[in-house]
Amino acid sequence: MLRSDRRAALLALVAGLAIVALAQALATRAAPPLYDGVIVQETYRWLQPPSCQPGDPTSASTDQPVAQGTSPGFAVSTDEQPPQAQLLVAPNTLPLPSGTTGLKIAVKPIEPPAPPSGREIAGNAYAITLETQVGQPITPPASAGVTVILRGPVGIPTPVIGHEAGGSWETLETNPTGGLQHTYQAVVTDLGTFALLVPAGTVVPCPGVLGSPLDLASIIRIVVFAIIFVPIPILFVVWVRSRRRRQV
Amino acid sequence: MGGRVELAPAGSAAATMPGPRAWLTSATARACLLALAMGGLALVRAQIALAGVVDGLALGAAYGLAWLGLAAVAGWRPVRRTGELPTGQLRAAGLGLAGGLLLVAASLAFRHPGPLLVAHAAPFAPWAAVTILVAGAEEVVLRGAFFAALGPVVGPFGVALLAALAFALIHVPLEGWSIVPLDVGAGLWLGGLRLLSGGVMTPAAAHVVADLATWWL
Repeated sequence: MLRSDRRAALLALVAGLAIVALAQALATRAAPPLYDGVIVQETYRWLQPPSCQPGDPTSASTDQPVAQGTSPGFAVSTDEQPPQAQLLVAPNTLPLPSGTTGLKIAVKPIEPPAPPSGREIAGNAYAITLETQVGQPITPPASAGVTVILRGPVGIPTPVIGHEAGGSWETLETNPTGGLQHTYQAVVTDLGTFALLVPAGTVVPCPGVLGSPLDLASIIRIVVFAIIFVPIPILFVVWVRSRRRRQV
Repeated sequence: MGGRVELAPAGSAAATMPGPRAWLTSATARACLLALAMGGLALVRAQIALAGVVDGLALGAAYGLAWLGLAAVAGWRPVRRTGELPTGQLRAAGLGLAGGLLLVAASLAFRHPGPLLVAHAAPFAPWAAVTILVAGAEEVVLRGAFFAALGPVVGPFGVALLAALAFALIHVPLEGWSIVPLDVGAGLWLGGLRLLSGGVMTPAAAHVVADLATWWL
């Protein structure tokens, strides 16, 4: 092996491992060693399934002990693969009432409330509760970063996570959950009922062989992606190298 | 997979940036076309996966075979150097195994606490078989054909970096932009293993180990 190859190999190995460590340390949730591989998602389970879709969505609940007044870290997920609804709480982030010895957490699909005007619910609505051992609700501050993750059915436009309380809906700042399809997350400051909301009339319960149609936004994304992906990085490196050669 | 790729001699047509016609047949143009094809395959796969109309394993298998076809079209062939002992390949695979385990260990050491969200709604054996096919095919294209086309033009670290960027970007349509930093890092690590070993077997073995590990993490 040439010395320059060995030097480049070591540089790539060290830089690669450093970037992996940094990306893992800065991630807001657990990540795999690399995002790759074969993704096989279970078909979405509906609480009120259309004729072409499966039903029986699962629930999840857990009791978490509290030691020395410090809130534990935990994740509560429904049993689908990947889960359809999850609540993520980092350790030592929740303000707990004095005397708290444990937390009760539950995630459950429920009969959907009426959606806000001009929107519809994509998939199921989920009741997510977080209480002390005596049933006192916990209200997480924004700084706690308590996160709700919802997976939706295929063939829907990009949704937002809605939070319903007392008959009114609030839409939350929603981001796609990297590494998973049709899955979205939002930091919450109150618990209760959550659902993915999309423009009314856009949920196609039985998408058919073509799935969701390619909308204008998707086409623009593809074009921008192609422009970034193909020539710019390669031509840039070639240009830098050729300049360096000319200088030599 | 498993062969060594001989890089074209330095000072090839692409390295001197000739006129447009020569450029079209140059290594740089070949690499651009390869990148375009990789991006196209990634977009098509993502569109089909997001539509949810094809089983994930069948889609993965078709995707892996398409990548192997791409490598063949690009002219990549496994080459065994004369006089090389079979133990050389075993050694390369062993180095890849160690490299994959180290990548997994580093990820676990710095990983955010909480469950790993993955989508493995399939039996292990077929999932593992398709995962090995896809990971191996990606390595044959990225650290095989792409390396061979661009290595003489941009140098060893440059091609490792570009292959890492391409590796990250091909996963964006399906998995989102947030995965780019991690996949660039992992891609650089795999590129480093490619440079260290001189062949595709080592990064392919490391890639397979890292992918399969997600079953148990």
